[in-house]
Amino acid sequence: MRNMFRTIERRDSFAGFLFVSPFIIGFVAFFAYPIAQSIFLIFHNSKYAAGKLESEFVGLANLRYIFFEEPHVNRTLWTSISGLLPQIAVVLIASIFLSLIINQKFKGRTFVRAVFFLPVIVTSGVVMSIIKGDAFAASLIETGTSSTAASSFGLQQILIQSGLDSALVDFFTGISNNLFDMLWRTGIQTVIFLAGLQSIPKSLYEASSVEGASAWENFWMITLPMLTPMIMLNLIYTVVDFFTDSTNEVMKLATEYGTGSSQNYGVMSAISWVYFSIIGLILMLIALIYTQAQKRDGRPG
Amino acid sequence: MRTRYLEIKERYSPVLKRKTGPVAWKMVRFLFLVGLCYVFLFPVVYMLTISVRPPDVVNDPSSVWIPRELSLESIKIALRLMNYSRSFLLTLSISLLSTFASLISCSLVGYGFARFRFLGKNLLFGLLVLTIIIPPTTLVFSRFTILDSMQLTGTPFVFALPALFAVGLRSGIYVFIFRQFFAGTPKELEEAARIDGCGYLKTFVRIILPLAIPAFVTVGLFCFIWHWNDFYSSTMYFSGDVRPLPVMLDMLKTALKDAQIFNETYNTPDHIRTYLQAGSLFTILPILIIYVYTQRFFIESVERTGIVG
Repeated sequence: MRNMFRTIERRDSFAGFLFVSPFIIGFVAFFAYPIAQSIFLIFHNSKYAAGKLESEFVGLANLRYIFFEEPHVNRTLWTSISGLLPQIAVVLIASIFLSLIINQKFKGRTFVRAVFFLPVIVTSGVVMSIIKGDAFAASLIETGTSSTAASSFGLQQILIQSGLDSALVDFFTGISNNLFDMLWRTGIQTVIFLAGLQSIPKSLYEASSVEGASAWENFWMITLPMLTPMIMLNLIYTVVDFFTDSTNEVMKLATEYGTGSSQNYGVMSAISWVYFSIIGLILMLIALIYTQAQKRDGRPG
Repeated sequence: MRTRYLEIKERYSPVLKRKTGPVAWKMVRFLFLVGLCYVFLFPVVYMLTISVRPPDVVNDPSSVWIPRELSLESIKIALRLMNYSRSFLLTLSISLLSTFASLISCSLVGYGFARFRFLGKNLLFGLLVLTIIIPPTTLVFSRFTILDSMQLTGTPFVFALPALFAVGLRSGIYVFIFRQFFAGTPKELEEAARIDGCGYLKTFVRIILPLAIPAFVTVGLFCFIWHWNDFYSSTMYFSGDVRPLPVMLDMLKTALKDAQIFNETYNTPDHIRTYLQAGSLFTILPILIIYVYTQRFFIESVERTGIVG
């Protein structure tokens, strides 16, 4: 042992290892093993009874089932992933906007801040689904429900007549119908952007106002570039939050297979892994674009 | 140089001092603030105003926000159906234990990642990121079998035990916040303490912890709230009459739609609506109260933690 601690470097590295060791133990026990098991489950038909798991090897049957026989998976996967794009855009733009507003000084700022962070507190999907399931509440907040479908329809007509592509029209009406929902997903993102705004040195703004820059120019030339790391972080957080959310349709479908009377863990694992690999590809694409853009700017990644 | 700077500062001081924009912008901002506050306050106010009405007259068109009569009937029924006092205690113990466990483990791990260099550090950090991005459906079944074999299902330890090893609900995010925070604190203090003969753990407890209070507040509050609101894992881990509040609320929803529970008069859509809003209100009321008391501290510490560094 004495030999091991001979140099400070070695002692430091050993201490670091000790500090991180809870995570290593936890990862092996509660993470690596479950992951291995859920990959195992994809290729097996399993039954869990009386604390025992009985499995039978079925090869690729579960994967074949979800792609070619199960009626919902393909469609749900497609709508879920195509719904991701407007979601990300709206959440990011809204949270930048919200954080910019509450970063300013005005009367009642403390109150407004407390209100804007409410989504962080009331993130329970159940509570939100009850609010949205309430017809009267829905008529007060949503433009897309039956009672006020006319307004959304009007917007759609205007957009179509102005010569926009029908996919784009759907995109915009989709956003306007879900605005309430999307605003309610901005909590953490606003917090992160606010923390980012606080970390921008004031001297930059002083210098630029001496040069006579307008607030608009300040935003594009200073605020936004300085926020780039937070935009990246929020992008990833939004994607992850979106697809690990329990109200996500694909997750619901997978859970139904896991908890219902069918208890088909193989199909549940297959759906989640297919979904996760698609999302993983998207995340890698985002990371790649980000590092490429940084390289082009000549900044170290 | 210095005088030149002062000269400029003097000359442009009106510009530098100007904190708020022109009147038009103030008005636009005011409108935005009012509208957004409406969006964010709406669910809470709605729950409150609906749940204190007598269920028979909940549809009274003459009052949208301010009820004409008050009645605690729906709250009483919702609380009874949800087994509120026992579910509340269960949820509270889950949140408290897991928050305590997460704060200990994630601060240690975060410190390890921020300060030390050791073999396989980057690999381990990559694995940590993996724990953040993997969807819970891939894990929850296996975790259930593990925890079930330890006979922990149905107790708060299903959350607290993984949290104690930094792999609990969203633990990766807490580790990340701590790592960013510790990476931003000056190293000199610790070096001085080390030279004075303070051990690694003692340095951490004596020197680092007092500095890291903002990070602890941020992580603690997030952790408490996320555990309180967790629905997905709780549906797997708990069964029986007493479950965490979000699950009880969801069960209330299905139970109320099930005509068996009530006789016909209690099962009108209006009654269901009122009971559900009362149930929702009391599911989030505890964390709302905590938030009201801690929000100033929380927002300040978020700003000072600089979460992302």
